[in-house]
Formats: sequence, structure tokens, C-alpha cells
Amino acid sequence: MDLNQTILVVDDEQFTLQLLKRILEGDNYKVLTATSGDEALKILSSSEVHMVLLDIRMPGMNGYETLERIREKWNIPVIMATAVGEVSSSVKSLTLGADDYIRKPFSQQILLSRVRAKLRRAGSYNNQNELN
Amino acid sequence: MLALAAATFIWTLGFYLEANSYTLEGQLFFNNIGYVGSMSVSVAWLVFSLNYTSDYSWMTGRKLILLCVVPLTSLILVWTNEWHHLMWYDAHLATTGSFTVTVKTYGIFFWIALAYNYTLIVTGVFILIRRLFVGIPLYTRQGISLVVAISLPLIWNIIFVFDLLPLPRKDLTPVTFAISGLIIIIGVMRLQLFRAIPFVRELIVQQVSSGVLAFNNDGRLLEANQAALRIFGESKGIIGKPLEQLLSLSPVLKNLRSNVEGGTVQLPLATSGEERLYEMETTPMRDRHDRQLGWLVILRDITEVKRMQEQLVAQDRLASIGEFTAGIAHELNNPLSNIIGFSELLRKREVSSDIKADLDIVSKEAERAARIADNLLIFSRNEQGDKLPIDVNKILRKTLELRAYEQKTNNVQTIFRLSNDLPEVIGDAIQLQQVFLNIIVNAEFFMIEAHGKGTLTIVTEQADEHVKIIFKDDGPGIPQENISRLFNPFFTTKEVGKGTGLGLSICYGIVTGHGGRIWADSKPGEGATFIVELPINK
Repeated sequence: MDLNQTILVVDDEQFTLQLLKRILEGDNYKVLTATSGDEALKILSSSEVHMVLLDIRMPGMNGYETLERIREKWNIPVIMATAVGEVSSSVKSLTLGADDYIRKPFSQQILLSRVRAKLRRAGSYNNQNELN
Repeated sequence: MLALAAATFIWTLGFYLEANSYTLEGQLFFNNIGYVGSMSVSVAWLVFSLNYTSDYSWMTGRKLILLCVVPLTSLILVWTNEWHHLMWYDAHLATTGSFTVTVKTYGIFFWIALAYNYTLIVTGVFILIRRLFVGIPLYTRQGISLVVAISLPLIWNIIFVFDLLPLPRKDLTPVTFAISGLIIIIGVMRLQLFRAIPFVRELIVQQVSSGVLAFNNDGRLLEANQAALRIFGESKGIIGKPLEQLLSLSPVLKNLRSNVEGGTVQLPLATSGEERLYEMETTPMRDRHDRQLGWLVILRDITEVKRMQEQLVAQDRLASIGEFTAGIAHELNNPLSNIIGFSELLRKREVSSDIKADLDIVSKEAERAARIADNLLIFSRNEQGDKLPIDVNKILRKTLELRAYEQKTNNVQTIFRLSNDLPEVIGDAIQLQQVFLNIIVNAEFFMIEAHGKGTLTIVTEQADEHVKIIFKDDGPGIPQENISRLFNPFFTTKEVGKGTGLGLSICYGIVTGHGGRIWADSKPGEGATFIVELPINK
């Protein structure tokens, strides 16, 4: 897998961050972590990020607000993490500009395949832009 | 009113033509025409007063004819005067100023007719005064305007007939009647003379939706309005009877005895089969000298209000429990997904098979806990979906398809008795399916637990404005003390881990959210019945 692909993981819980970092690094992505929406926006401004994995339930600025702020400036894929059984939160996420969502607890297989799919789609889109 | 105006018109017309006629014969002829009007004015006025105060029931056709006897006789006498001179004699022309007038001396019957007419008019005025001057400002103003309107011509007429003023002997009464008409028109416009007529007060008592009853001190029923008679399924015949003799009113009597000072109590009454809740307000009736005459009882049907209040309280309670439950589920969800995630990471490492087996258990148990949290979230969610017209029978069949396999393997049989022409209801199909599924799964659970098999009967029917869905099982039944707690959140009789105690409370929330009702009925040993009632789509 392409080592240049960087994923920013945003979650207020340390263990969740660690878990996601290890799963994604296991698939050869470069992983940056943020424990809040504010920190996520700072990292996006200073580093090159290809995708954001964003938790909805966070203290302070929540996932929806963070998503809206991201969409003001960046067009990178965002996958939202929602709790199981919450239909409305996944619908809301997609409406606000998310590209996909995963439900917690998630299967690692499904997480990785969704991340790959989104990055592939974004990549081909960028390539096409360059061709035009 | 129309008759009054017509009579005045004829009178005025006669007067006008008379004034413009210069021969004695002509004046007398038109004067006689004027009599047709003047004689009918007083009768018309009386009829008008009665109509206006709603005492018209007194006025029968025969009485009207009787009232007309004197005026008609007068008219005949007027036209035949030259043979008997009962009305007047010695008529001749006299010129006063620019008017040519007839001067005549009145005969005996003229005075009789005059007295009769005055009596009718004064009676009319009296009727109006009695009904209008009762302390209600609007009625009082109406009354003043009417009495002034009729007094003006009356006074003028008296002046004319008795020759009280040194003016030309000219009956100007019709002119003053025209002024009266003007006053009445002003009354109609300014005081809504013909809108808020007094008998409205009686109609209010009769037609108000609350039951109104009045009793005297001896406990005799003085008055009962239509609503009160409806409440007790009685007819007007009960009015006047002592309360003791009226079996249907015994709950009222009982409360009256314990509430002699007046007050408000809630009173359940099972009239027409269905029990309804009434608010019974008792007020002692007193006269002007503060002597008690009896009691006034007002019965307001508060069944719906009460039901709505209870639903609101229950929904409120459900909503706060829902929020609380959702909070817990969310808090559990994150640590659980970490446990599952890290066990999976560990299992991918080079570890011995016994550690792998232990990790499997950790993972599986965490997944089970996550499923419970998931269930709590589903139960606590009370999102209102789109409400559309729904065929309840179709939803029931679809719901049963979900249970077909489970039922087959557990010896459970379902019998459908679905109405063929069931009206549609308005609702959220997914939520209603959740309700039906919950009731069906509960029934299965208890039937299987009790006898390892069971028969569930599902009936649909129309009941008035509702669709009734009945689920009857042949399980162990529900003990009486649990019936009232069934729909309380977290109430469960299932063993720990098998039920959250939320299922039926969620059902309750959904059904009441649809404007319906859900309740259970059971005789221990004869199974349980759950009834869901949903309003028909109109």
C-alpha cells in the first residue's frame, strides 16, 4: 500500500485512538491522531492528510461541527464513526458532507475495506482532475 | 316585526292620504283606511314582544284570533259608522293653519278599542321590561331602546286623543311610529338588538355540553339540561321527581350528601356501558336574601382530558428514561468496541491456541454486551417516522412472517381472524410492526415457558372510530397485581438477562403517540389478551 497516504483519526478516547492507529498502521497507512475537533483542524492546516476518520460523540466541538468546519476548506474523504443502531446520525453525517460511516463496534475487515475504497475513489478523482 | 311595520305603514299611508284630501268624505275614507293599520299595530306589537323574549310558545293561533276580535270589531264599526255612530259622530271639516282636518266627537266603542289597544301595548312593554332588565348591560340597553321606541307613539297618541296640547287636532302618531322605527334601526345596528336576544340564556343552559342539574333542598330535581339527561340516559320526565326515586342519579345523590357545602369531585359514571370520568361541581343555590334554595350540579366529561394528561405524563417519563438509557448505551459502546478491537489485534499475533480460545470468549462476551447496549438504544429511540395510511392486517401478516420459523420450531400456532373490510389507520408502519412483534414475541415466550407450545389468536375489527387489534394467547396469564405495571419501564417478570423491561413501555409510547390505546386483560390460567386500539384514518 502507498506509504504516502496519511489518515487523521479523531476521537476523544485514547484507547480508541490507539486501536485505530494500530489497525490502520497494520495496513501501511501513516496515521495522525487528534483528541478534539480543534486539534484535528490544526493538524489539517499544517500537514498533508488524505482522509479523516471522525468520531461523532466528542466533548466540545462534536463530530458534526468538526465535519462542517472541515468541509469549509477541504475536500478530502471523511468517514464518520457512529454508535450502532443510530440511523439518524449516519443520515445526518452523510447530509453534512461525510463520504461514509462505520458503526462501533466495528469489524476491522469492514473498516479497512471502507478506508481503501474511499481512498481509491478519491485518488482516481484526483487523477482525472489532473488529466483534465 | 314585519306585521308591525306593515300595520304602521298602512296607518301612515291613511294618514298621509287623509291629510291630502280636502273633502270630508275623502278624509273620512282615508281615515278609515288608516284604522286598519292603527288597529293592528297593538296586536303586532304584542306578538313582537313575545317573539323577542321567546315567550312565543304562549301565543297560539287561537289566542291570536281572540286578540284580533276587538280590533276587527272596531274596523267593522269604523266602516259602518254612519249607521250606528258607535265610533264617532258629528264629524265636520275644520281648517287650522294650512291643514284641513276632520273634527269629530268619539263614540263609546272608540274608547273601548282605545283602552284595549293601550292595554296590549302596555302589556308588550311590560313583557320586554321583565325579560330585559335583569342586570345584563347589553340587554338593558336593548330594553331601553325598545321601550323608548314604543313609548313615543303611545304618549303622542294619548296627547292627541285627549287633546292635551293646544295644537291642531291631527293624529301624528304614525309619524312618531316612523321615529320609533328609526330608534329600533339604530338599536339593531348599535346594540345588536336581534343577535343577543334574551332567550339565548335559556338555550345556553339547555345546549351547553356539560350536564347541568338543579335540586331543591328536599332533593327534588328541578331542572336537567339535555346533556345531563344524556349522561344518565333519562328523559325529561324525571324533572320534578325526588332524587331517591332516580336510581341512575344515585352517584350524584351520594356526592351531594357528602358535599353539602359545594365543591368539586371526580365522579366515574358507567352510563351507556362505557365508564367515563366526570368532574362534578356542586354549588349551593341561594336567593337574594342568602337563603339556600338547593344545589346546582354541573357535570363535565373529563375522560379525554384525563386520558391525555396520563398519556403526556407517561410519554414524558418514557422520554426521560429513553434519554437516560441512550446515554448509558453510548457510554458502554466505546469501551466495548475497544475490548472487541484489542482482542482481535491480540488474536492476530503469534499466541498459543489456549490463549486464542480465551480471547475468543472475551471477544464474544464483549459483542454480547454490545448487542444489549444496541438493543437499549433501539428501545430508547422514539423517533417519529412518516405517518402514512396503513393496512393493519398487512402489517400483522408481515410481522408474523418474521416469527414463522421460530413458531414452527417451538410448536406455536397462530390463528388469524382478520376483518375483511378493516379501515386504514394513519401511522408509522415500522413502529407499529415493532409493537406487534413485541406483543407476539412476549406471548410466544410465556406460552412456551408454561407448556412448551401454544396457540396465539390475532383478531382485527372495527370499533367505532377505532381499529381494534386483539392478541389472545393461551399462556399462564398475568397476575392481577402485575396488570397495572405491565407498561412501566423496566418492569419485567422474565429472568435476569432475558428482558430489559422496556418492550411494552416502548409499545405504550408508540401506540399513544399514534393517538391510540394499549391495554392488557387476563384471568390467571386462561391466558393473556393484549388489545391495541388505533384511530381510523378519516
